[in-house]
Amino acid sequence: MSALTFIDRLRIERAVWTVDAYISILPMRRQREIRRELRANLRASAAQVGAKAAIRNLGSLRRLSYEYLSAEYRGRPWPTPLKGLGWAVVVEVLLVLAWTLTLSAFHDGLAATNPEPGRYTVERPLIGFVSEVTVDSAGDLTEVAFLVSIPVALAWVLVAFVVGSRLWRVIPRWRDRLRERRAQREAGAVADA
Amino acid sequence: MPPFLDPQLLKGVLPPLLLALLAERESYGYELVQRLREAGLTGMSEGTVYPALARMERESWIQARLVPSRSGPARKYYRPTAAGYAALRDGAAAWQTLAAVVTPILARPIPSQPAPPTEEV
Repeated sequence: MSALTFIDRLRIERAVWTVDAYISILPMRRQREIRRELRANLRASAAQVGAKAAIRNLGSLRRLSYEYLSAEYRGRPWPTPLKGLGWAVVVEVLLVLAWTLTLSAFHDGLAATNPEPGRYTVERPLIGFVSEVTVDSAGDLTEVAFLVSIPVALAWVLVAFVVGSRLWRVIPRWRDRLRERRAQREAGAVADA
Repeated sequence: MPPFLDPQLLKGVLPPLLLALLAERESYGYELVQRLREAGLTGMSEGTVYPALARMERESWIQARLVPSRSGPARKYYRPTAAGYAALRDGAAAWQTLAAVVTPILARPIPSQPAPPTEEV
């Protein structure tokens, strides 16, 4: 057995936290348990074969994390919050694009029709967008105002996150947890009796 | 040199193997890897054993307790539960049944080429 150097500890921490990043969808308590166990095992292994070999013997850290997730979800597919976040960003960008195009099309369309003086409004409730353009007596578009609905935008982003991350996949896991807690309570009640 | 052990072949038999070792003596993850290697499974990797332990704990086949270590952080020692002992008995019986069928077939001498079909069309 050999004492671990500071660099060895850093190497081990890097491996531990890499796995931790991959399994970040697990509850924090479970993540902490896995981190602690992996760290203890890696240090025991590193004391015998060196930190580099100990980490190499784990194989692919991504694969290891996948196996941990598979164990936790009993082989069922699990949610993918990072993908959900990606989809939420894409939808947000598309919304901004849709607002810009709607405003621009309305503005250009109005200008092309030699409008009477007054106020002209466009509403697109589906994307939460309202714009009002004022035309003066000379037929110029003098004032362009627009309003976007934050609740509608947030609803779209939320839907994208839920669908993109397949958030419903946590439901069977919650059911398992509830069933286990109920079984533990019942076992405790039987033991007390 | 010992023959290469296919990890896929081992995967199905790994839980009963781990349960059998834990039934003999409480152990933590890396210690189990060492014990498997000492038993002849030299290619056994930590990356296979640790998630298998997580899976078995999730199935309530094993339970764990933390034991302080002089050389580092506390280690998680496992032991089989009642369900684990039942799984071990089932797993051992299934393995022995499979081995009783497979071993005689694979032990036959390998012919240089296959015999023609019993009925030629």
